[in-house]
Amino acid sequence: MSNIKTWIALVLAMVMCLGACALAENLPVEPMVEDAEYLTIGTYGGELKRAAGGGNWDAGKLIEEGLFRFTVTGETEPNVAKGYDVSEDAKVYTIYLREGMKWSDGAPFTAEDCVWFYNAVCLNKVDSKGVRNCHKDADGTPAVVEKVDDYTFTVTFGTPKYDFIEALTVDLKWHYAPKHIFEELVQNVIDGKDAEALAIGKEICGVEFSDVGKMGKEMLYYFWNYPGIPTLNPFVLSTEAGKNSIKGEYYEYLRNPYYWKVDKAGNQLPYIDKITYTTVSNVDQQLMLLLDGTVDYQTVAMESIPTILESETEINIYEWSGSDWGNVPTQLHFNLNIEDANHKALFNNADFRQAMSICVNREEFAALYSDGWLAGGQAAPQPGALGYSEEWAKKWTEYDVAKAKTLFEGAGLVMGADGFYDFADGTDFELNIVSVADNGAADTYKILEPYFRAAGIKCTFKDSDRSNIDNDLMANAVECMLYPVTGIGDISIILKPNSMVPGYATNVAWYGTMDETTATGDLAKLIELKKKLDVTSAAEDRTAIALEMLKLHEENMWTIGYVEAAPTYHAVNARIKNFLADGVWSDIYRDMGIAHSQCWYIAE
Amino acid sequence: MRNYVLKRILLFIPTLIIISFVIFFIIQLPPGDYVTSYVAAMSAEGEVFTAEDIAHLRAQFGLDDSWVVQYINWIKDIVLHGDFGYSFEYGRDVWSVIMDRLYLTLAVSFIILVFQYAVSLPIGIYCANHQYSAGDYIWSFFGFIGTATPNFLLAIIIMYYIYVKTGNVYLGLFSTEMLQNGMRWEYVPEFLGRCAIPLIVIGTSGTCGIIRTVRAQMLDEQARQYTLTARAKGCSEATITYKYCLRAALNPVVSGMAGSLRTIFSGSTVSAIVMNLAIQGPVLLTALKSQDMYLAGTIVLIQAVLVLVGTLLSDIALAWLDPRIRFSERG
Repeated sequence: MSNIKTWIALVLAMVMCLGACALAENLPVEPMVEDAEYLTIGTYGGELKRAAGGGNWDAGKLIEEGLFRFTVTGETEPNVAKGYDVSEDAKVYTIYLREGMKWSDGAPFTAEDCVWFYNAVCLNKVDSKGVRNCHKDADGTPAVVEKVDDYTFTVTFGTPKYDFIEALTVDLKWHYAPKHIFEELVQNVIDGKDAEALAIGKEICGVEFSDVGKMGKEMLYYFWNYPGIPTLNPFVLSTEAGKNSIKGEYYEYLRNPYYWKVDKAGNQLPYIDKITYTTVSNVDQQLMLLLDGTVDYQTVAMESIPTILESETEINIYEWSGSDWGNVPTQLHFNLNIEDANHKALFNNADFRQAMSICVNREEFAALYSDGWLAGGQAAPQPGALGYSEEWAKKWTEYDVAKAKTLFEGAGLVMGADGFYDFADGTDFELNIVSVADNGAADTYKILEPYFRAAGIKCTFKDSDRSNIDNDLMANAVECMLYPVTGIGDISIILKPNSMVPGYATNVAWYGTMDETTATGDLAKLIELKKKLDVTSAAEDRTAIALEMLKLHEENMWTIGYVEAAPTYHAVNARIKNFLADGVWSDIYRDMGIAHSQCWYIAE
Repeated sequence: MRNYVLKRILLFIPTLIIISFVIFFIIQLPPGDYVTSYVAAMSAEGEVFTAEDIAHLRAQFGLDDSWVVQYINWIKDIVLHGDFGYSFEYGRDVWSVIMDRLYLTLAVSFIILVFQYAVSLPIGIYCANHQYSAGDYIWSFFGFIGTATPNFLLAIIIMYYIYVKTGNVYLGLFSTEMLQNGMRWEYVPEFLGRCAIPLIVIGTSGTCGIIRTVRAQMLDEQARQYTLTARAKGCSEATITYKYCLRAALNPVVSGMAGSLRTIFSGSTVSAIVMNLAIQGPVLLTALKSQDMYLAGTIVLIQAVLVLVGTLLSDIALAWLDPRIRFSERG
């Protein structure tokens, strides 16, 4: 009997050894250790249940892995890369990878995957994106990317590039693709053999694309959305029919067995077996599923919190600060590029904008709007962000209707017989405000409108479907927008100027279709400064230019905010552990991605 | 009759050409196109597009031609290659997107249709035979609920009631477990429970019309002289009701079925969204919103074909039901 026990013990020991060896084989020689202080050692297994409206970034950011990543305090740190060196003249960056690291299909991940991605995919624009700004030097010349050995490659610029690592982390992020999967496909695209390329694409992910342009973008840029493409992410889209299409009713991302990160105790991450997604039609359905425990994690609106706290399911709410300038849903954007000359002159007049700002009793409005959750505020950078000043945060926030009327008159408006202001030429002035339907803007407008009316401004409000609003924005047909499609502000005007500099995005209401050819005055100066920023390498010079740009915003107040910024609320089922309690919600930080889902585990 | 049917079928061709043209015209009418919707949606997620990118996308999707050229190319591909075009939103050919949801849509819609007639016909007959009785009022009241209450509201009320009672949210026909593991016997009770919601919500929306039509027609027929004659000759009430009156009363009901084929194909849209049903209606709405014009165009075009076919079938059924229609056709 004791012999049998000994044999069983021996067999078990051998199985454990084999398991440990297999695990060690799956990990690189120097795996990345997730050692943030708040993280505890987790247990394996279970699934993170989510509801979504069809993949893309919501699923992508949660599992994305760039060569480098931002910490919650805004610094970059090595991630897929093990580290880097930079030459004294900031022209040559040497990037080191982790020896023994593997793709999710078990193939080795080497410098070849990074170098080939840049030279074959980016330089030939196969992923439709081409060479990103991070890879261009001061003259706009693309960098040279060369392999040194299997785990080292260099990026060489013609002029100094001081911010390459930050810019890479924002612009390109991953800088790699599985060469062993895509080499033939990409070569066929480069050679113009579209039919062959499309056939290979279908073989890889089972999807028949209409053309190589679309295929390149989908398979090499949105790669996490397609089955059969190996990644370095902690979770990889299933290849099983019925679970492998982000356009289907249900899909799941499975644990990457070759994931290259470990916890503080050396256990391979991720802990969770899979992330499942049930497709729903809208956020209300997501909330319902959260309440009945079918969904484990969701960002939620402030007004949903009382309902969540009342639910029988134990759900934790985590509050993250944001990067917006004030509360985006209450921002008022005047289209400074509107075609009508009367409106254009008025909107571009700072007195008019100031009057529109001070004619509202912010505290009363904020209390009504947020049910006491938020205080009044202005569209300005948040405390701690570059350019923040208390003066700016409080600029034009006093409530003074008499002064507002004087300013309206100073801006050229004339009080009409009906008690509302008209243009000086006698034509009626109506502020036609639009917004996206079903986002609460109609209710917000109902609170704002009496203030405007009391100050002599006649308003109309129309909300319509998002796609209609988007189309109107692209056609420069939006006059004024409440609850903008894209709010103004981000964590850094240097890293991401889109919403703050005309011409850098396509759906920002305050500058509409304005670009360098149509901008005048301080707006033209703002664009000029951005161009100067692009060719300035020294960090301190860049900060100085950025501050100059922000100063222009502060002086002009091109958009008006009425309420302080609302935090982002994460509703997380209590069974999910290791969620980052104090994060910052910013696209640059990859939104919820900074919570590092690979470290989450389930405590049943 | 054969000539009549052939003539009607031949008339389908010009009708469909006109319909498809109007469909395409209306779909492209809002400002912008799929690229503007796509760029705006992606921009909101943090992507940056240059004017060059947008022009490239437009060329890639073939949207830089005029809408008339796009229409002609679309129709040409349908007629010559049976190719209904490419869905920008789904990134694959339109037909495969439609086929994805077709079987479930057909199944759900057909069951709902059967439910509507199975419930409405007996109630309509009962109400006619017991005019102004308590039963007439009670059944009519239930019949009216579905019509008087907006479908989506009824769906929300039922879902709320189920949530309060069971703590579970019944969204969609399949639970996550069913989608994960496939259908198993243990899931059947829950599946039937989930099916009951759309059945009641969408099904009851059409019952009132049928009940009132049958009731009115039956009362009308019962007052006719042939009914009196039949009764005088000693025919049983069942024979009078089911063999004579009902057959005549069904005329408007049958002609009303013309639109049913279209409904079966697309299903209910708003209710399907509220209940998260994976049927054709929400796909059409999404396609229209994002200006995915070939997908939206194809769905509406198929609906138009089904309306035409449905009208023809109901005319044939009417001729079969009512000999007078056949005779007048001959005359």
